[in-house]
Parts: sequence; C-alpha cells; structure tokens
Amino acid sequence: MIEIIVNGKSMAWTSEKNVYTLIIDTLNYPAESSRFVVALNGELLPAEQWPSTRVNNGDIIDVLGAITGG
Amino acid sequence: MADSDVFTIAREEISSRLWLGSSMYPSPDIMVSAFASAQPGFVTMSLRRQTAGDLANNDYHERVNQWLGASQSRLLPNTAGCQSAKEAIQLAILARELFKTSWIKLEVIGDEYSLQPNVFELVSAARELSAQGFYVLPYCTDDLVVCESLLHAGCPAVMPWGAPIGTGKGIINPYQLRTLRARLPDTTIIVDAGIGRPSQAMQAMEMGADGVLLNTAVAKAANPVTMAGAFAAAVDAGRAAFHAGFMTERDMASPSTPVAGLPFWHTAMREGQHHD
Repeated sequence: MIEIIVNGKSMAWTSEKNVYTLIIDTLNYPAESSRFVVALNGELLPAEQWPSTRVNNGDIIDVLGAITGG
Repeated sequence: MADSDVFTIAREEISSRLWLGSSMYPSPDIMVSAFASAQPGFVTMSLRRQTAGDLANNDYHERVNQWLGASQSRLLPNTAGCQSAKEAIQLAILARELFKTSWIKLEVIGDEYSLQPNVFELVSAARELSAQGFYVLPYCTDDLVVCESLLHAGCPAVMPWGAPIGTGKGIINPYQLRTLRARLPDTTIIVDAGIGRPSQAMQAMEMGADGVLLNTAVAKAANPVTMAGAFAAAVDAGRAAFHAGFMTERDMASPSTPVAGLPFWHTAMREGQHHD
C-alpha cells in the first residue's frame, strides 16, 4: 500500500505509479499544460521529470496554479 | 510625464509607475478594463493548490495572460501568505516555473493581525533568491536599516508599506518615507500596501517614491475602472510635481498679486478702518 498526500488530502493505492501517471491519468490534470506546476515534498519537480519519478510511500505532492493576488 | 522619465529596475524598463494587483475585482471583465484604464507597469498574481477542475475554470488567469500579451504590463508573482524564508523561497521557485518570470514580489508575513512583514526572514529569503537570479522586490516595513539590508541582499528595489495591507489608510508615517527618500536617494522605492485614495498615491509620488503598488483601492471601488484611471492620473501628477520642485512652505502670508501700483494703497487703514 502506498499512501501519499496530494494538495493536503490523503490518497492510497496498491500498484506502483510515477508522478506523470498520478497527475495526468489518476487526477485528470491536462497533459502538456503550462497552467500548473508540481512540488514533490516541497520542492519543484519539473514536468520533464514526472515520468521518471516514482511516487513513494509518504510523499507529499502539491499541484499549484495561478490565482489572483495583490 | 516627460518622455525622458524612463523607469528602469534591474536595467529593465518598466512601462508605468502604477502597479496593480489582480485580486478582488467583481469580474474578470472589470479587472481587465481596470488594467486598460490604469496601464499598470506590473500586474501581481499568486499561486495556490488547485484541482483539475479549478484549473479548467480559472478565468482570471486566462484574462490576465491575454492582457499581458496585449499590453506593456509585466507579471509580478508574489509569495503572499508565506511565514518563513523557506516557504517563500519554495513558492518563488514554483512561481518562476509557472509564470516564466524571474520577477518576484517577496512577502514573508510575521504578524497575522497587521500582516506586518517578518523582516528577518525577508532578508534571508531575499539573499537566497537574489543569488538564484531572481529580481526580488520585497514587501517590507519602512525601516531604514531593513531597507538597507534588503539592498545589500541583492534586491534592485524596496517596497515599504504605506499602511497595513488592505487598510486604505495611506502614508501613515510620512516622516519615515521622507527619511528613506533622503537617505537612499538612488534606490528605487515602491510604496506597497495601504494606499486607499488617489490623493494618497499622489502624496507618495510627491514625496519621491518611484512608484506605488495597490489592489484593494481599485478593486473595491464602486467603479474600479474609473478609479484605476484616477490613480493613473494621480501617480503621473505626483511624479511631475516631485520633478518640478516645490515652493518653500512659510508661516506668514505673502500676496500672490503685486501690491505696488494699487490706487487706493492702504487708504482704509489710514482712515482707521479694519479688514476682517
């Protein structure tokens, strides 16, 4: 069982995933989009590294997009 | 303003001395219309966790991008909400990747009630981000020593508050802003936060600020588009006035119209009458 936290919420599954599969296939974020970025355990994970980065038990993943701000 | 009054930061030309936030507008259309009215040098945005659904419905981001593509405005991401240097550095790095810009409005909040910056964490984050090639524009207090430390850390400008964020109280410590201008004559100073009225923005510019950054005063106006234009005019007028040089204030009245040649010179006084 792999348990992780995505955007503050717990997720769990049994098979192995990489970050690309998690973000695009499981969570349905748009592929090839420049409108969001991914942080793995607080650090930027560039898009080109998503396919080669395995999601490990206990990982904390954040998906961030633009919002209005002052 | 004269064409020769070119505004540059970090050797980059900035198209306007009025910068606007993108938050709290009644609609994306009104936000963009306010931008068109103000022609801001920078437009600020931020970044937060978003679901796939959030991204699909992010009209404001789409409209800001369209505006940036059709204008001279630049995008200035912020690190709003961060409470430590570590958080701010991480968010700035993510912002650079998302927005494809090295400009960052660095915010590290130290007090939730006043939203006063934590200047110790701010200087630490500014040093690290400057070393990583960011153009760090720090939201800071109006403390001279803090501003000097931020400049030494590599910031190309400082952005002292006029008043706490969102209060609209204007320049609550004009003495300190005058001190900053006098002691840091070659430093780019942007008054960030607390400006509520065009007259307050004009006051900041008359005092020698190089620009102002505001959001609530436009977004929460009854008519944001008209207010954006009013702020643009005030900033231009304040800048022109600062360059023009002010008269010296005095306590005694002095007639504007020459008295020589007045045909009834002091007749009434000689006759013992009084003026009210």
